[in-house]
Amino acid sequence: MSTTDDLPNSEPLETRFNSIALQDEEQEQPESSSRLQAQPPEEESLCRSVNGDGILEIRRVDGDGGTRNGCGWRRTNSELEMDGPSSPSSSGYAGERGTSGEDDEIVEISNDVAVMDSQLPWTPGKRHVDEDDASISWRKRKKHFFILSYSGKPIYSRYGDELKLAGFSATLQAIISFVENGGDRVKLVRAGKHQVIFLVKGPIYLVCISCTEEPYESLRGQLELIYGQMILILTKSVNRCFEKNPKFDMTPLLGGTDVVFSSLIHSFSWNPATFLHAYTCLPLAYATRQAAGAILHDVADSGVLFAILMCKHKVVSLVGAQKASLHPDDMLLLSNFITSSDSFRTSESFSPICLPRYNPMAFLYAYVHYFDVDTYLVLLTTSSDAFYHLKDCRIRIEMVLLKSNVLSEVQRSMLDGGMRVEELPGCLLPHSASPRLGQHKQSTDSLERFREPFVGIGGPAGLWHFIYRSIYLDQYVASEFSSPINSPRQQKRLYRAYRKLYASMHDIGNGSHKTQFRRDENYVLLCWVTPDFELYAAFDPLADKALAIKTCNRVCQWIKDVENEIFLLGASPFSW
Amino acid sequence: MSNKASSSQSSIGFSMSSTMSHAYIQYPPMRCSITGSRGLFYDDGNKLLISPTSDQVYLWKTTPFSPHEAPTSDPISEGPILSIRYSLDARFRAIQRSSQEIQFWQKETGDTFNHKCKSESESILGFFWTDCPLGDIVLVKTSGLDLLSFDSESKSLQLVETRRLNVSWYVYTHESRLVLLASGMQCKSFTGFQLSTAGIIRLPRFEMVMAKTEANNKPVLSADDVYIVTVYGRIYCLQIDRVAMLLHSYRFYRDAVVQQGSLPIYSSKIAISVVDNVLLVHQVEAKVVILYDIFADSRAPISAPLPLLFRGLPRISSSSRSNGKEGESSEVNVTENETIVYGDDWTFLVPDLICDVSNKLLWKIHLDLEAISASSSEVPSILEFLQRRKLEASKTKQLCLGMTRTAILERRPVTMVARVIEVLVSSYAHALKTGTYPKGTKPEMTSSSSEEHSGSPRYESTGRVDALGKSVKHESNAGINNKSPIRSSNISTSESEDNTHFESLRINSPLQKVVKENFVGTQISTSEVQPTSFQSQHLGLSSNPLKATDGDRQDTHLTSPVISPDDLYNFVFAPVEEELVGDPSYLVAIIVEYLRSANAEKIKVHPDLFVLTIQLLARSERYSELVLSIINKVLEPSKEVAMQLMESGRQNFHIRKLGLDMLRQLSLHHDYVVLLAREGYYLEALRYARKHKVNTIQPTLFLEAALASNDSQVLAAVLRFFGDFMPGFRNSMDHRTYARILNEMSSITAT
Amino acid sequence: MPLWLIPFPVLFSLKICKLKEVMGLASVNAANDGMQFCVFDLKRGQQEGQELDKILFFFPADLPFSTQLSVIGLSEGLITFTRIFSPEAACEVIEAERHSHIFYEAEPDIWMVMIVEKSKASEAIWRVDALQKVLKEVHNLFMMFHGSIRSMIEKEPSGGLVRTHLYSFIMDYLNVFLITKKLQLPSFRDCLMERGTVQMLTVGREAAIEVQSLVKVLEYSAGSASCYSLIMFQDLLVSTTLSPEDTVNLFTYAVLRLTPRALSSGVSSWSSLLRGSTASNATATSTSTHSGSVSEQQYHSRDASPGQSNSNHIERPLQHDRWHKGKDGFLGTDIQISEMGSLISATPTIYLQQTGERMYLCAYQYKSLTLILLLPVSSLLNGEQGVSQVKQQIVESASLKMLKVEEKLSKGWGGENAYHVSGYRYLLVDDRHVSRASPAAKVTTLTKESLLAMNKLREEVDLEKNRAKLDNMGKEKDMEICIRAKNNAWVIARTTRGKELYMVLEKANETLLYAADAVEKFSNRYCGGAFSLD
Repeated sequence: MSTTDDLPNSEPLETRFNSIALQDEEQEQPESSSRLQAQPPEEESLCRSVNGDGILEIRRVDGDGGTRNGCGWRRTNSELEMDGPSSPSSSGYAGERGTSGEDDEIVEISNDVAVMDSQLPWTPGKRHVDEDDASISWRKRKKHFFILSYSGKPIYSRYGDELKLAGFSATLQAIISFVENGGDRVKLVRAGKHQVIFLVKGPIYLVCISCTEEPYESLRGQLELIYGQMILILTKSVNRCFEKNPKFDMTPLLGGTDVVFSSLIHSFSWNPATFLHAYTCLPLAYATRQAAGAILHDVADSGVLFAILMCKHKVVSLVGAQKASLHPDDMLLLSNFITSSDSFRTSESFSPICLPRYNPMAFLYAYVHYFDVDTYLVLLTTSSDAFYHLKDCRIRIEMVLLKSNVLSEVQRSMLDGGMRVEELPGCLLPHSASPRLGQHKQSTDSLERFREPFVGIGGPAGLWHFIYRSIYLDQYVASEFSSPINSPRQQKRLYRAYRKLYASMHDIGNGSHKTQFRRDENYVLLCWVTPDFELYAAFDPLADKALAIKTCNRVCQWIKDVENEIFLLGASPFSW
Repeated sequence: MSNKASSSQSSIGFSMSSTMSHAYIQYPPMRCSITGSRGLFYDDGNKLLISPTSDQVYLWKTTPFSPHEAPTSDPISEGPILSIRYSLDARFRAIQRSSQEIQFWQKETGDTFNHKCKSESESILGFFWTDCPLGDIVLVKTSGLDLLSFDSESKSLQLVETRRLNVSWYVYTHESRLVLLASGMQCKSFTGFQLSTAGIIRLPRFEMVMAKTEANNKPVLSADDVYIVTVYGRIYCLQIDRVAMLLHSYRFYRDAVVQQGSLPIYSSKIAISVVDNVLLVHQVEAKVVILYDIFADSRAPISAPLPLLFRGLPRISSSSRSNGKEGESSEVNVTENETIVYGDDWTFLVPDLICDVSNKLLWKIHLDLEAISASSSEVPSILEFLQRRKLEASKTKQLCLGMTRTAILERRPVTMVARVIEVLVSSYAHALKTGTYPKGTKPEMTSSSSEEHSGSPRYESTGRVDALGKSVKHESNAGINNKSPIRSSNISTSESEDNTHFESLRINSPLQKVVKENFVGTQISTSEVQPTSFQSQHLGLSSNPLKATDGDRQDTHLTSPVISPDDLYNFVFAPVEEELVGDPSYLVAIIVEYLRSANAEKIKVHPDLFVLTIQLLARSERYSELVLSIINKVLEPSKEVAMQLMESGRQNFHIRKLGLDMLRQLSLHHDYVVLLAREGYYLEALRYARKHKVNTIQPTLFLEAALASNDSQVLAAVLRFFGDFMPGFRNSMDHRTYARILNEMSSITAT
Repeated sequence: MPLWLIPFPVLFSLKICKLKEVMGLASVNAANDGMQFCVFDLKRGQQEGQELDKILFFFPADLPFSTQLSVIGLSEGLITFTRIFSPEAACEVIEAERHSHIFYEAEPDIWMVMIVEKSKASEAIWRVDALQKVLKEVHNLFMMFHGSIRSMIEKEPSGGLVRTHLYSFIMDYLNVFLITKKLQLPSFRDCLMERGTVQMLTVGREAAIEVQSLVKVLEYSAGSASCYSLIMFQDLLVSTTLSPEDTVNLFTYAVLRLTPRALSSGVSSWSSLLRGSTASNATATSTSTHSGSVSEQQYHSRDASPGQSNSNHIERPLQHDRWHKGKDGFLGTDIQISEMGSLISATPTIYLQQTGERMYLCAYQYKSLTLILLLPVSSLLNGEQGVSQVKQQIVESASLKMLKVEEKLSKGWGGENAYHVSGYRYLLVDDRHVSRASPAAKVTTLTKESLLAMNKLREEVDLEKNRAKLDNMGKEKDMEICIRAKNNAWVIARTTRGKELYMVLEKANETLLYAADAVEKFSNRYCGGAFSLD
């Protein structure tokens, strides 16, 4: 991580602003910049060529000729020399870039301000492009994310058009460098309900301005993930571009990736993996998962680094070659990258990606193929010309999966969903259905009959939701959302409470606490951290302490009972 | 309620306000004129006025003093009558025919017998009946005392005991059971005997102090210079020293007689009366009377000497009743010489009667407590004086209440009002301890304020208890005509006549009694000289405090002016709070002082007083003081106090919280849960209800509150809570309706 | 045009670039170790080259002006920046890796910023709220003695008067924290202590009535003047007739300078409370000379505009040994030389925070009973003479009662460890600024992990409380957190309806129910069941 003090001209805070504000938009052009061209991909094939100026071009070819939603991209990654104009106007940057990110709430200024109806289903991509730091609605957003270069150039902003935010981004940079001039590094500024979190990663500055009640550690973790996502796309070698030219404009490099960032930011509100650093598996019968694992295993022997079969963000099976271990964060970023860009769905693709935790400096090549609308296979290799080999492997895997109808089982499991609090076995309440998961009952209708009259008040002793994380397996299982936690907003509020609980338990300073009981007007939260598992449980605020503890023990028991269906056992990277 | 100072009974004849009087004689007197009457005799044993005629003897009961009561009469035989007294059980009558002979007459059988002295050398100075168990009658002879008892068969008197000493004259009062035998050249050395139910006690000889005249001739003390008075159950002897113009007082102890200082006198002719334990020293020539309350040691008179006046004279007296000189009276039935105060032939009978021998009238002396109170600005001491009075108890009580109210309304200095309240509280506390204030009766107050008190400092002034106890025993065996139980109410305030009788009867304190009160005496006035060898046996006769048998006594039958905490609240603090204008902190200061003295005497205060204080403090926004007095429990917690805190705290949240906390501390669970929910803390209320199993709560109250928060999670929580907490709720109507509402809410939000 | 209309960067940089020209070269931030503390007024120093005028107080005063200006520049920059997003609550804290900047807007546009260093070696782990309360406390005390800073500025716009007063006042105040030459600011070891609160003495009913009767006697013996009274026994409050805020201010000052312990030890009891050890009696003069002298000239030289009437005598109420026991039982002081300059020292006056009323401050002490009387200046027309006359009246009428109260209180006095509950290390705070805690000596028996865990928990609770305050003004945060820390100690926090309970149980066994039960017992026994919930 290059520290700032060796930056060529570290000016005190005020000159920074000075240089930004007073000069007009046109800055003198850095002599070299990477180009990001939008070019219609050829048919079917994806080829890599190095164009004249040594910029690696990876053109992705998709099946039906047209670029889906018009944001076909081609990234060139200059290994060596950096040149070419990077003025914003010239970069193909102007493509439609809706605001990414979760349903964009506005914090209620006062009760009467109409809150954006957050019930709308989330649409990917960037929205509210028109806003800038002067508009009130922009200022009232609940959570902003910015990425800027150490010279103050905006790279990404969740809301508003980066170009219009050049001034604001310069201010952020000015604050960071002013403090650094004092031989210190700013981490957090708190004002009322707002927190401004700064994360410096070499030449890249990441800033989050949030008034959600998430703790500092949790928001900082989100910035780390966003940086990780950027590295996944560009690798860390991008830092060298800045070493050569501090005014290097990175934005073209990230052309068309807004949808990836907005989907990642959206996942902060619904995906526990974003703070648990663990992945989750699709509940499957042990045999089925073994079958899938076996075929992946064969493929892995033949030069494939990792073979992952996933359905949405849930792992079906995962195999890593020779001691290679895949960090859950890398999987999260990878799956987010794949599921957020539609282009992967249209046809098999072969694209360079970097796994920040695995090796931030080097590119790997990912062969992605969707078997059905949600289930996809990712094969990772180090060699850039293994496309056809991976294509054969995929065909072999596909055949076996179809033969052992793994895919249909996957579909059915997606429909059935995972564990439900109402189905906690062994509780006295009449309305508890027999544990569906355990006995593979064919028809699910019997379940429906049970659930109808008592819908809505959660499980026994007011259990609403739980997350169980196996430390050894790096995997977690979370119960499905059931009434009374229905709307996305309610789910987001619960996850924020979890984040607070997680941060409180894992205070980096002196290791993690062992048990926590936390009650306020919204939830009763219980948490145990033991050497081999962590349990987070959320109850209604009127839950009785003793009953809640008993219920948690029963949840752990239930998880142990159905362990081999909800976890990928033996898949741990160190298994072979 | 406040009973204005003017005396209520005064009829038109009341003398002009210019001549104030603290003691008065109430018209009409008792008329005891009988044609052919050979004189008037007073038998203080039975409180009878006796007027013998040639063949009949007419008896007037002087207690209760009812002027129009007709006399009873007994036959009497001829012969000179030196003195006449009936036996205490009224079965015998003894008449001293001559200095040697006493004639007895038995009422039932009618036969008579005589008793003669043995030797001529001695002569009978007088006799008196006694309730001493050893004998019935005591003869005082020049040679000493003979105690004789009546033998019914032989119808004669047997000599039981005799004490040899030569006697010049003697003084005896039945109420003190004490006989003082004067002997010696100047008759100033005395021997005293107390003959009471507890036996005969001989007092050590003692000399009375006589000032020497310049001519150095030794004045001789005469019988009417010595008075025996019983005040607050203590027996004093007052001796007039005309040379020094002083009235010396002695106090009798079992084994000693102690000089108690002397009072100045302003006329050579003095008369002594005792009304309601107040000593009246009549300066006959000066025609004024000085009142002394010798409870405390100070010998200062209660007020300036004032005339003794007639009250209730039935004629319109236009002319001003000058001091003592009567105006022309046109009224036919009242001759003007009847209205001469301190007439020449006025004789003063024990304890508070005056017999106008020439006009054959018997007057009773009364005290005008209002006039006395109005005369002094020293409210606390006046109140102490009033609290010790027993007659007209309810009038005195209203008087005390009135004075306290006016003291507060006039915003007198807090220290003075505090002293006033302290007097009332301590007198109440004492009355409770000595049982004189019937515990159960709450004539004024509805809810019986819990007055259980542990023992506390003794209440010395009247020692009524022992007398009561004593007299009960005494009455039962002596069968004196007043059969009704001592405590019975009918005695109390009807014209105080019987009361004094009742008073004296009860004070029939054997020397034993002296022992006790002396012991008592040591407490109150440390300065009083104490006989060294005195050893207070246990007060054999201090009976247990009498319980009020019939609870619902009318106000009029109150036997003591003592003011209970409930009276103090209802008749002082409550009315004053309405009338008092301006900064309430003055009244709060007084309430604090009241709490201090009540706490010192371990007396419970009327709970509404705390409610009143909260209103005062809240009105003057002295929130810090209010909070402190609640936290330190100066204002004792109760439901009423808690509710008042909620009320006064409508604007101030902290005060409301104090109210809520108090409800919790008093474990009034239901109220606490309901009020907590009303304040908006319905989740906390439910948790509290679960913890304390308050299953009287209304689910809908909480379900509505949860619904109002339009958060489906909260509604689900409350619904689930009642499902688990309240058996049978799950299949109740409420459950179904709210579950349906919950479904609708969640289905909207889920899309 | 309204502030937020100007596109932000222009506004921001406008101010900043002015600073650059004034200071010349970029100043190296000679952030010396330890603490920096400054008070500045945003309204001042707007024009060119006047930036220095913003600074009303800076510690250490000998820091080069360039550094001072850069600190102020950063602070002002961030206040403006955070106001974009949170107009109603501007910057409160800047957490950097090696420093924390604590902000407190004492009065509109008058900011106090404290910069503390996070050197790992020292025990420099603290709670933002605790440090903010230090700023709040010194400001409240300043306002008590001198009125608001803004009013003092208006009295003398050049700022000379306010600077000299602020300088001597804050330096004396900082002395409270000076132990063995090093500024010991509140750290995580003080997590079971709450600054800005009052500690009460529990009195039985009988004693309480006596006290209240004494209060009433005081009130009435002051005659026409309605006098407020504050009664303390040793360092604990017994009764007050003042509002909670004024009570806290006066109590804090009394514990520092007036109580028998403060008078005798010459060192503020707060610092000794903190350390429990007898701190070196570094008199104020020594530190102030060391750093004061340098800046004294600068301040004076810059602002010694002619014709300034400031009498060279500045009241220094916070200085050591300014109070002494007078013969008549009253505490005498030479803080305020009476206007006529006569030798007899005038009775000091203070301002009530709520009503702003000016009151004479008289303190009477009998053994360990301290009586503080506030007599309204407006009602005592003949000034000093009137005060001594009222004092006389009070002594006459109340001295007997005082003896009685003192005797009753000392009989019931449980000694230093009266409020110790064995097995518990607790802190109780209620919303009338009253707190009760395990004695400091007992808290030090806790392990460092437990103290750190509790400190972090309190930090979390502070965040929750502030958020709740901003969210719905009405309701206080009602919550309960029980944590079993790494070292098996239970760290518990409960807030309900304004009352807060923090507790550490080190020897408790592992189950959550056991810990909850322990709290229930404590709550039922000592808090009237306030915290017993389930």
